[in-house]
Amino acid sequence: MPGVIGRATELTRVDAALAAAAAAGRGAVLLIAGPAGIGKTRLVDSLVTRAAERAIPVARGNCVPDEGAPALWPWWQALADRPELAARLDLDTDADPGLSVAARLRAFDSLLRELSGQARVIVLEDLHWADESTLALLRLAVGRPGLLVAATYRDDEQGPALRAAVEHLRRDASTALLTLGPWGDAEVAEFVAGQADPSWAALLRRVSGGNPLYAGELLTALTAAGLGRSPATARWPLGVPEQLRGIVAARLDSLPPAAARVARACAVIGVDSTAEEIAMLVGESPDAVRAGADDARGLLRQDGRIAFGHMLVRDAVYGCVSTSDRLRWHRKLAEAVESGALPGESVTHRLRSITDAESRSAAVRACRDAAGKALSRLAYDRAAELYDAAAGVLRVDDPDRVDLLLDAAEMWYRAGRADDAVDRCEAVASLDPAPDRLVRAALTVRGINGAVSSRLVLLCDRALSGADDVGRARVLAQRAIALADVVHHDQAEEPSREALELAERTGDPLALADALRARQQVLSGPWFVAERLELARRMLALGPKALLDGELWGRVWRIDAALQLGSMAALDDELAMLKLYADRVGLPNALWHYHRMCAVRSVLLGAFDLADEQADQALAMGRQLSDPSAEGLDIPFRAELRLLQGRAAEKLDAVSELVSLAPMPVVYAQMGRFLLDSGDPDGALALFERLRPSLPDLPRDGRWLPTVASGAVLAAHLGDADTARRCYEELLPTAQYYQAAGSGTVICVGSVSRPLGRVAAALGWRDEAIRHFENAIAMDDRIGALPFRAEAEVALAEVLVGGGRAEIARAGRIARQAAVTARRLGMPPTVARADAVLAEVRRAQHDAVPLTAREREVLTLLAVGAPNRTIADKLVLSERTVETHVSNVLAKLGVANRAQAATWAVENGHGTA
Amino acid sequence: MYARIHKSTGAPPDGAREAHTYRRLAADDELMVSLFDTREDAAADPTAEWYEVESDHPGAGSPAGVAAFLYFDGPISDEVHQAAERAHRERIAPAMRTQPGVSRALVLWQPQRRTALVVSTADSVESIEAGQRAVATMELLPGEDAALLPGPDRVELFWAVAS
Repeated sequence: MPGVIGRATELTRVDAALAAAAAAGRGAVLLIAGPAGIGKTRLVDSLVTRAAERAIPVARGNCVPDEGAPALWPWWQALADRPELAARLDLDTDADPGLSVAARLRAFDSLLRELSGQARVIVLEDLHWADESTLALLRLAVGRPGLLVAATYRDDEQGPALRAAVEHLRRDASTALLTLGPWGDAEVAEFVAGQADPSWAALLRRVSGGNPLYAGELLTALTAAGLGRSPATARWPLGVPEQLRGIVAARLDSLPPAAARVARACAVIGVDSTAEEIAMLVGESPDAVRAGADDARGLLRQDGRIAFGHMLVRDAVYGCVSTSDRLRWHRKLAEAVESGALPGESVTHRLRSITDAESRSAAVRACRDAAGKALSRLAYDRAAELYDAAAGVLRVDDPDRVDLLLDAAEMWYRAGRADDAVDRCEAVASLDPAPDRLVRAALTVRGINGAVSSRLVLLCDRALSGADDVGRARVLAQRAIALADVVHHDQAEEPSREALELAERTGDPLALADALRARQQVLSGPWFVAERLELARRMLALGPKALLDGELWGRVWRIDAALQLGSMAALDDELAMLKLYADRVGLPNALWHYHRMCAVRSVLLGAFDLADEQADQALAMGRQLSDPSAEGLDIPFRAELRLLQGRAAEKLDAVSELVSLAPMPVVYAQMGRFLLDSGDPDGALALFERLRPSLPDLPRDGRWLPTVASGAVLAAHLGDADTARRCYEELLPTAQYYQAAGSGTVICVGSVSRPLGRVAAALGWRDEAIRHFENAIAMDDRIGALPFRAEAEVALAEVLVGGGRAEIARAGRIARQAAVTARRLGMPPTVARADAVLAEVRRAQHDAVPLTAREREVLTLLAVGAPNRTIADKLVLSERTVETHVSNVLAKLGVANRAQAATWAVENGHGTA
Repeated sequence: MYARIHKSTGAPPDGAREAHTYRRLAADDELMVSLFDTREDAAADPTAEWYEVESDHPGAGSPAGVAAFLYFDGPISDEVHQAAERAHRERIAPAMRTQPGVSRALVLWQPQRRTALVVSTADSVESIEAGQRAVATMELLPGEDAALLPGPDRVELFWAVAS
């Protein structure tokens, strides 16, 4: 076939990508998508040629649809000439799976770093058959200097893993997606030219739909029927096959029998094979095989290996192989691979040669072996598919199916596909297996919140009867955790206590760890801060033998508690220990928590720039986890920070996005207050309306405090006095705490007394407001929470300024101090409010001085330095009278001389009203 | 028992059972710590701070020469208050009974502001320091948690002038 037809735009993008790579600038990923046969490989071939012209080295690998294909297969192929690099893809898997994932990330990163630096192209084809590890490595390959990765896939056959990977890759600006469409009239005409009469172009285009492979096969069929050179018929000629399968079958039939057999045998072996392998199947000599392959030139290519031109052709030929040949040949290949005569995996062949119980067992065995290998490569998705395949070949009531399904569930869980895992567990439960299997089914999926929780509760219910003590303890604990997610918070209290008691009785570390987690969830409200400290201490005491991330939980729980109590020394200790732990185990999750909490601490203490840096680090970690909650938590954090900095407008879009993605009371409350404080009372009201119905029955969990604190402020300022009063009463017992959540503090904005003060002030309870703000100032001062002390100071000054002389003076002092702090920290809105109070103080102090109208006139002239005589002239008074007035003014102002009076006048805006 | 902390006026206030005068180290001002039987008596002076006496423990040392005022700023939460009470009663006070040079520890609690003040007296500054060091390095009792024991926010030293 000739070179590339059409694809001018795509080739331009290819050239641009190569030029960028050649300059060893920021690398990129080039995604080439399109249905089968559209010409992806042809485009890639052009890319390879052009890369060679620029002397850029190219390595290629491709994914295959075989069950037995090892994980990372295309990467292995691409690194075939650098075995020392390829070896990095093999990891030590004796360690805990959690650690291995982190180790894998590090290994991938270091491998990619080796590959970047100078210009290089790596081609990976047919990603729709790729395993998760291959995709994981591809995701990390973005942006590596000098490295251009070109990846092809059938966009109409994407699985969820590939879809997610493509979405992730496209977030990077340098990733290019080239979607190849069908040929247009011009391209088909160009293709037909010289090979057949040009009049065939239109019909060819119609029948093939513009698919190049299909068009090529149709043209070949036409030529074989001898119709190519004559003018086109109106419709596709009768007797000339139209479907690819038919075309290929016709071609096979027209070959000499030996050549056809070679083609069929090749199709059974795989995409490509050697003459020796084919020889073994057809019972001929390798030379005869090569001669046969030569004869089948239209279907097969030969250059060392014998292969089909395209996967679709291979599929069509495979379809033409008789069942008996298939069974016989697959079995022969399986036995040859298992005896070592042939390389590769026997799984595919075993699965396709099942005829009786014996071959069925052989297939299951092969699946298990291959799954074990996949597991050792951390290719959990591959292993899961293999266990599923094995379970699929057994009869539904075969007892061995239970264990295979449980193994598949475990692998799906580790691959991050909780729903698929739970599906398998439920299938197991419905088979009514032995009690220990039911326990295993109930415990396979752990640590996941959300929709699966209700299903887990049901699985646990099934597993409870008949389980032994340890099993029962673990299941009860698992059930308590899931239940806390599903039912109203209060209903989970009893089960969590029961689970902890049983766990304590059995002393089983795993049950204890889960029970502690369930208990913590139930006791996450602010009233149980002492209990939570104790639970955390116990979790830490359990050590890593119970849960790898047990220490992570323990530290995070203690950090939240320390924040709530304002125990800064304890907070810093726990943060330091968390960092040590995170560095030691290298878990991205742990590092995310660490950076997140550091950012929370920085905002609390007024180090805003540092807080942004730390939040950026947290976000980067969170993105690596591909956990959407990481980005979700970043939004309310940054919104609050920007609010303090007077840049709330930057976050308005993100906030409304958050509200639609996470329609929860705590989000309505916090974001509502954000909108209120950033000057959008209508927006705040809208969110408050959505919050209000849930307030009476709000679960008393970790989110309660931030929800009610912000909700109360909203209610008070939006005129709902009843709700405000109720929330105020409920909040009062927590006045001595700081605003932290018992279950993952997103941001700590100082003492609870401050929102209490805001509510009291808005409801007109002046004395209470003053008391609360004074407490807030003392509390925030004690822990060094400068931004929030300043906020409380301004709020207090705003209340005081409406009072008597002493209070006004005090308001002035406090506002001045707040302004200094707010200016230093970079809090323009707070500065503005403080300045507004100060202006009011000055005005009040000015107005408070009982000058008569005449005395005011005298002061005005005095202030601009006029001597008594001038004043007398201007006001038409005697100098004596003016002297009297001046001395009265000085006395009333409490100043010693005219200069001081002039200063007083300026400072208090005299004459400027 | 109740206490009042106020600027020294020379004579002990009316109704006081005891009154001790302290002069701030390296300064001129003097404070008086007076003890009363009733809250009304202690709170009678609107310009001074009144406290509940939570505990009053004698130490091993001779009459005091120096006093350390340990201020615990508030408002203090229930958990921290209870933890501090327990710590003092079960751990610190018993230890201070045998700590050389340390004489008396008055633990005061202001229920409205929810602040605490410990007036700890000893025969010398060195004894005060040794006592503080001993408390800081003590092992916590089972059930105690460092996160609930934040320690004093400020410590000020005084000479004991008169009693």
